[in-house]
Amino acid sequence: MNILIAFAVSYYMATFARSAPLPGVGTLVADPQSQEIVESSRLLIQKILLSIPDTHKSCIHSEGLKLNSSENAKLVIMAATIGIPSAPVLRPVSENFSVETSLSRMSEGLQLHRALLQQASDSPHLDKNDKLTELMADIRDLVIKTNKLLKTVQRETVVLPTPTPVTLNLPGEYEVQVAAHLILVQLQSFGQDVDRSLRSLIQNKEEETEI
Amino acid sequence: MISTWVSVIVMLVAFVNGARNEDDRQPCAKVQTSSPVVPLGSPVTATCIIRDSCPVVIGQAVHIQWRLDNRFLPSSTVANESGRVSEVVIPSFNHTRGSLTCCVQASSLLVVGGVDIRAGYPPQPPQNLSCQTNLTTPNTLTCRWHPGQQETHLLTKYTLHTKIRDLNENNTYELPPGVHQYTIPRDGFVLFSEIEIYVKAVNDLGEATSVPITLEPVSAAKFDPPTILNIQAMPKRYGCLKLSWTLSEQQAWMRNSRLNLEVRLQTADSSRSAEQPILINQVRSTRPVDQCRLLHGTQYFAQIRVRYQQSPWSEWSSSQSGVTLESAPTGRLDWWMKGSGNQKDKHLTIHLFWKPSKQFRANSQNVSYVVSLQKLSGEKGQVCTTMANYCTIQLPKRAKKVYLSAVNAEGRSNPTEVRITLPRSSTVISDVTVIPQDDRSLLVQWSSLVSSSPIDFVVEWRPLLETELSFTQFEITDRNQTSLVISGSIEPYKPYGISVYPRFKDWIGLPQTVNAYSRQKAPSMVPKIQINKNWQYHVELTWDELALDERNGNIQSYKIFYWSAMDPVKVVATDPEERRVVLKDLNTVAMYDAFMMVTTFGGSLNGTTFHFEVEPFDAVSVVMIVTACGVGLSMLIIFIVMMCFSKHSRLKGRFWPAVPDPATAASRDGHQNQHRIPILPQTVMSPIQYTCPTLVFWTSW
Repeated sequence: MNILIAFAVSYYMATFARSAPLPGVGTLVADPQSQEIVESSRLLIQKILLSIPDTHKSCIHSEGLKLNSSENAKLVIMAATIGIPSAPVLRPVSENFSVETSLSRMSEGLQLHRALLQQASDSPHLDKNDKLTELMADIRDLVIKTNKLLKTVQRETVVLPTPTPVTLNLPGEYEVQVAAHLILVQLQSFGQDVDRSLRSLIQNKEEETEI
Repeated sequence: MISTWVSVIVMLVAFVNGARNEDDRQPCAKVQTSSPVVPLGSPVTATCIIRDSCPVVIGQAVHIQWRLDNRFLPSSTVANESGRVSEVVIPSFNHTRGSLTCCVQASSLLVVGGVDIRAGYPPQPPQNLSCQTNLTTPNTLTCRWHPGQQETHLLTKYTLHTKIRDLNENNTYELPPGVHQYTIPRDGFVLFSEIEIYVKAVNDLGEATSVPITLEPVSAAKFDPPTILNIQAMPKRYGCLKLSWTLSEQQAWMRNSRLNLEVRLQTADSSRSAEQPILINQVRSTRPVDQCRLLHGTQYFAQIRVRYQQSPWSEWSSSQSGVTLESAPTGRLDWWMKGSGNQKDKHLTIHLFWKPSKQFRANSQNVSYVVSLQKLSGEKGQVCTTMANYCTIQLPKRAKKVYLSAVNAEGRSNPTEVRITLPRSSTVISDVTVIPQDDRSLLVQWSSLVSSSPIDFVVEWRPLLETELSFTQFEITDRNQTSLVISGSIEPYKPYGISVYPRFKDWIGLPQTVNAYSRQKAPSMVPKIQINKNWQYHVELTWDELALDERNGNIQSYKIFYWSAMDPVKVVATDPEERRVVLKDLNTVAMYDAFMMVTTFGGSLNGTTFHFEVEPFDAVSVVMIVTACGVGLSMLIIFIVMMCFSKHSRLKGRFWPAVPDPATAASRDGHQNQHRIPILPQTVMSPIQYTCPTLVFWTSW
């Protein structure tokens, strides 16, 4: 009998424990308005990821610079020379990595890449075209959405991330091309992390497909 | 000292000259008005002040006049306060633009000053402001408005103002004059954030602002037409199709969003199309859409369109088709049977026609029909199997019924019983008329004998240009009905044979048949004319009947037009049944031209011109003349012969007197009377010759 009671208590404790939401996620899941923002954010990141190849094609003319190429690892020195900072690290939401942190890093990373693209496009050595303008506008739109979600999650003080200004070292056309190429490569990787993080915030994931 | 004074004098003169030139460059008059831009029709007041130093007015009195463009303003509007100041009041300035000039009458009229006046209206608030997002790269937001009904007649500038709430950013876009739309670039709006937009119009008379609109750009986007990837039947689900679809490549990023979809389905036979498109809300393009409650075994053509929330609908996609699962046919068939045969025949010949009733469902794309002597039979009792809609079958005379079923790969429909009814020579129908309703329908009307009581009437029609029985169509009407509009298979300019049959329980009455056209036009051809007989002054023309496919209508008349250089145009007309005409009283010395005009109730066609002439002496004439002469000559000869051999001396003496033979007369009476008888030429004549000199003449001739 005591064993049964112990077993029952354990069973119900496990049940309650299983239903306990992760910090912050439960709020978003319950709030339909936030769910809409999450969904529209996910659409925007998918738009960004889908447009990166065409944007790369329109800007980058050097033959050796290709997305998804193993040669990109060899440009690490160039990245350091140009001064391209790394993207913030996004991890799955857990007790050690809250939703607030995740959203904050998303916002920070997106703002960073938008600023980097802006610097590269200001150079006369890069053709500023519609695709690049569109991509930067899409990133801006996603930052707005991410910040809105962040405000929802931050119940007390609202602190929106602002990345540290970065100045790229772009002495010549080659550096500009490499900079734009590496920024897009990094944005593609970061964007996929953002997509996964947003997907984890969606309540009903049955019909969702990944890019 | 002297040089100094000279210098001073020179400087003074130069200064005075300079001052004088300055005076010359100063305007003679100043024309002032309260505003150079005024509302149209409002009063305009202007003042002209002529400076005293104006050379035109120095030392003389001047009369100030005002002109508007080239027209002097009446003095009633002018008030001259002095010789140098004048004011004009135009009570109602009705021009959109004008030059108001101040003039003085000196030796001639001189313009001393002026001002341009413009008049118009303040702008109306821009109306019907609407914006639509273009989601094709680059994404843009285009706004349009209407400037208002009233023309301002003034330069009116429009500016588009936006406020993005999430960015707290305001933008203003200036437009060139006359442009009433603007395309906001991508960085001017946030796709998923609301933007408030309004338009301001400004001119010299005022400003006006449109009613602002607030929209979410992505919800104001007209999507590209989506694409149907696949349409498939669903296993074990009859009457259902699964439709897979996707957004266009430009909007592929929206594929995980919830969209509104409309599906339009149509069968190959458009008479069975769905009336309204089917609306499906909140679907993702990643999931197929099921459409059910469709006909079984039927091919459907589908189109879809999409929108996001309340955005404008996209255009319809291109069409794709799919076929639902087949099942056995259901429902009965409407039938019509015509039989023939008499009591002596052992078999009956039956023409059986059928068509689907309203409740019939083929449930398959391949349906055949079986006519059987038994209700439930295998192949043994079958008398006809066909894909067509009729059968001609020979049945034993004793057969009273046959059974008609539709068959497909999934089974057979319940048999429809067909009663065998034979014709009877009984006239029940009368006065069948057919009236065209339009190009493709005919109104058939009939009446039946009051004493008869058919169970129904059958109206049957077929195109007369086709011989195949499959073209025969029919409609069954209620016994109380006396008219029917037939349509669908009727084409203009083609003849149809329409028959009305009364149908009784055990027999079918005699039909009445009318040939009719829904629309007629001129024939396609004109018959070839043969000039058959040609005798003096008359010509006969004949022709064959036009082939049925060349008539395009019921022939109303044939007309022959003929003329020559000496005769005016004459016309001879005939009835359609008579294809012959005789042209009389023709001129024998002339060549005639002629052509035929064939007329239906829908038009006429003229044939090519042909030529003929009348011979003065043709073969007939010659024969007649020769015959007459021969007859006359023969009669003359006969008469002469008869006279010669006649004993009637008096009659003979009439025609020829007896002239004695001198030789014979001399020997007989020579001694008594020796008369000197002239010696005639030595002509030896026989007694007969002597007696019938006429005969001699003819003989020697």
